[in-house]
Parts: sequence; structure tokens; C-alpha cells
Amino acid sequence: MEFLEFLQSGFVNITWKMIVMWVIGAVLIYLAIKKNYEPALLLPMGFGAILVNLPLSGAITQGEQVGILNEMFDFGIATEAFPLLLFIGIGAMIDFTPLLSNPKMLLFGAAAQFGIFFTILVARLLGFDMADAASIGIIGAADGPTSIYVANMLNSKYIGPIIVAAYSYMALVPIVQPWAIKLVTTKAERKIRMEYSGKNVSKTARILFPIIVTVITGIFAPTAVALVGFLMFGNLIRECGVLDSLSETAQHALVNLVTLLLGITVATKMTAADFVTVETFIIIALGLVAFIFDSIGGVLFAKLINLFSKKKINPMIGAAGISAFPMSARVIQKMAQKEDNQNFLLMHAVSANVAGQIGSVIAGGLVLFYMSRFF
Amino acid sequence: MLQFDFSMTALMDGLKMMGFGMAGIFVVLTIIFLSILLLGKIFKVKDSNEGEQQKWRE
Repeated sequence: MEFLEFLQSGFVNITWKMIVMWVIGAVLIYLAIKKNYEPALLLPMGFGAILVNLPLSGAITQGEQVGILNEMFDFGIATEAFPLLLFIGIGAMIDFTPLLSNPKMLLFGAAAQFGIFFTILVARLLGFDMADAASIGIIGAADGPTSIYVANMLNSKYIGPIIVAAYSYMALVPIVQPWAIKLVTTKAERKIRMEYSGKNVSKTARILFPIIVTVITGIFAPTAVALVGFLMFGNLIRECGVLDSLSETAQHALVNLVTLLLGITVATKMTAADFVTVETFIIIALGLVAFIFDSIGGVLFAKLINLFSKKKINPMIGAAGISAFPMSARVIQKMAQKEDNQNFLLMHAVSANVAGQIGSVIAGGLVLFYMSRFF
Repeated sequence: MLQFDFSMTALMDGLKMMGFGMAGIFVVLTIIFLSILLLGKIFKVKDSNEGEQQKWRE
């Protein structure tokens, strides 16, 4: 009889919310495999969502019994180790040469962070406290590790939905951005051609750039220095020219391994009781708001510059100032070619896009700084 | 449970973060922009980079 009770204990502990989470997990796995949307992350997250929502799952802490995923969360995410290690790999992947040869594009990396702050405002008005509102707004950084870092530092209870939203919308950039850009541009504006005079950048400048960015950020936004520092450290490994094998390892093995661990560990925050709530749906919607207003902010800034500049900028370039790299740059190039198949904006878009990577990380650091000082 | 909060305090919190945030990013990125210009002046840019565009298209 006791044996039968033991067998039944799983069934009797199933809740409808768990079933919802299984479906969400299945959808994430489907998007990863069938649609190839951020598979390295969505697949482990999807599987993890199912794993932690099995009744009395031993993968997570149940009463006195500590689960392995909670242990991994404590040493990997609570300490910020995973997102920061991921930044080393991302830094090693990014070639800042297009930006160094066209530095004015850096300003788009600032303008396209508008969605972050707009969303913080909206989230605050919707009743989230300031720490949660700031964590939700950071979805607009279009940068998973930054979202995780900030949400965790601010101790947000919504870290699960925030991460799901951040990575889902990054994968949906090819759908979200064209729609947002078309909303605020005319066909004639989208056809504007821009000359590209690619210049060589000296190796010394490429080596000094990550060091200088780290120092400047450290001085002006000290809380951002861990994020920026790890990103730029990865870039320094890439550019120094004497650590090619380390650079390769950081770009591939390190990124793959940390992403895998991150994806499955994040699932600890996707338990049905915490995830299937009205707040989750609001956060998912706010993530979309953040991405849309990032794109709109960048485009409107480009239009503003055009009012004062003789050489017109294609306003779509502004939207590439979000951090979803390199997907956003490719989206802009594709849109430009759709309007005029002889229009090549890719290099401008790449410059703005890598600027967005820097901008989003600095935005994350500034949010943390302001939260510690003013709120 | 979430409570909608359309109060002046909430509005001011959000606007303060928006103002400081956007100003902060523009200041930091402008300084980085100036430092890139300076780097370019000190370590002279040579000629046109032919392979660059092709590399990104791929």
C-alpha cells in the first residue's frame, strides 16, 4: 500500500501551473530547434523549465534537500560569475574596427538605450517597485548577460521572466525591429544611401581601445566596470595578437559552456508558483515595449542629426544601436536592400551595433549606480 | 499582487531615472568617442580597408 502511495505521490502533486510550465518549456524547445531562435540558450531553458516543474523535482531544493540547480544558481548566477564569464567570450567575438573607423556611430549606441528608461518609467507606473522596474527595463539592453547581472544585483524577484523575455525578444529582433522602424520612417528615408570609407585602424589603437573604455567607464560609472571590464578583457584577448588560442577558446568553448550552464540554471527561477503569474505576462509585454522604444529612440536620434547635418544618415542605422549583435545590423542591411538593392548599409549598421553593445552594458551599470545613489 | 501606481512619486522616479540614465550614457559614450578620435590622431589611420566589408557580409 505504501509502495502505491509512493508511486502516486508524483501524480497528486501535479498542478495546472506545472502543466502550463511544461507547455512553455516545450515552446522554448520548439523555438530553439525548429526556428533556430537562440538555441544555445532557449533549449536548456526549455528543458530546465520542464525539469524544475516535475512534481517534487529533485533538481531543485525541496525542504531540507538542496537541489543541484539551486547550488549552481548560487555559485554561478548569484555571484554573477556566469554572466561575466559570458562577457569575456562576447568581447572576444566582437570586432570593434568598424566602430573605430567610424566613431560617430557610438552615439547611436547611446540613443538606442532609450527603451530601457522608457520601460522603467512604464513599469514603475504599473506598480512595480523601483528595483523591479529597473530590472524589467534592462530587458531593453537587448543583452542577456546584462539583464541577468542587473536583475540579480537588484535582487529582483522577477529574474526568471526577465531572462525569458530578454532572450526571447533578442531572438525576435528580425520581427520586432522592422515593424518598429517602419512605424517612424518613410520609404524615402529608408532609401537614403550612405557612403562607407572603410579605413584601417592601427593595431595599437585596437589594443588600447578596450583598456581605455574600461578606464573611462570605471571612472564615470564604477558599478558598470565589472560588466564593461570583462567585455573589454575578452576583446583585449582577441586584439592583442599573442593569445589566439585563448581567444578562440573564449569565443567558442567558453561561451558554449557558460551559455549551457546559464540556460539550465536559470530554470531554477522558472518554477510554476513563481512564473505563472499576471506579473510574468506584464513583464513579457514590457520587454516588447523596451525593444520597440529602443529602436524608435535610435531612429529618431538619427532623424534629429539629419536636421543639422549635410550628409544624411539613413535613420534605420539608429535602430542598430541596440545591443542584439550582429542580428540587428543584418536586419538593417536586409531592410535597406529590400527598399533599394544597391544600398549597402551593413558596415554603418555594424558600427552602430557594436556601439550598442558598449552602450547597453554602460546603461546597465548606470542603472545600478543610480539605484544605489538615488532610490 | 501588483497595484497600478499612477502617482506623482512613481512618475518622478521614472522620469528621474530616464533623465539621469540617458544623460549618463551620452556623457560616457561621448568621452569614449573623443578618446577614439584621439587614438586615431595619435596612431595614424593608413589606407582603405578592402577586406572589411566583405568579411562582415559573410
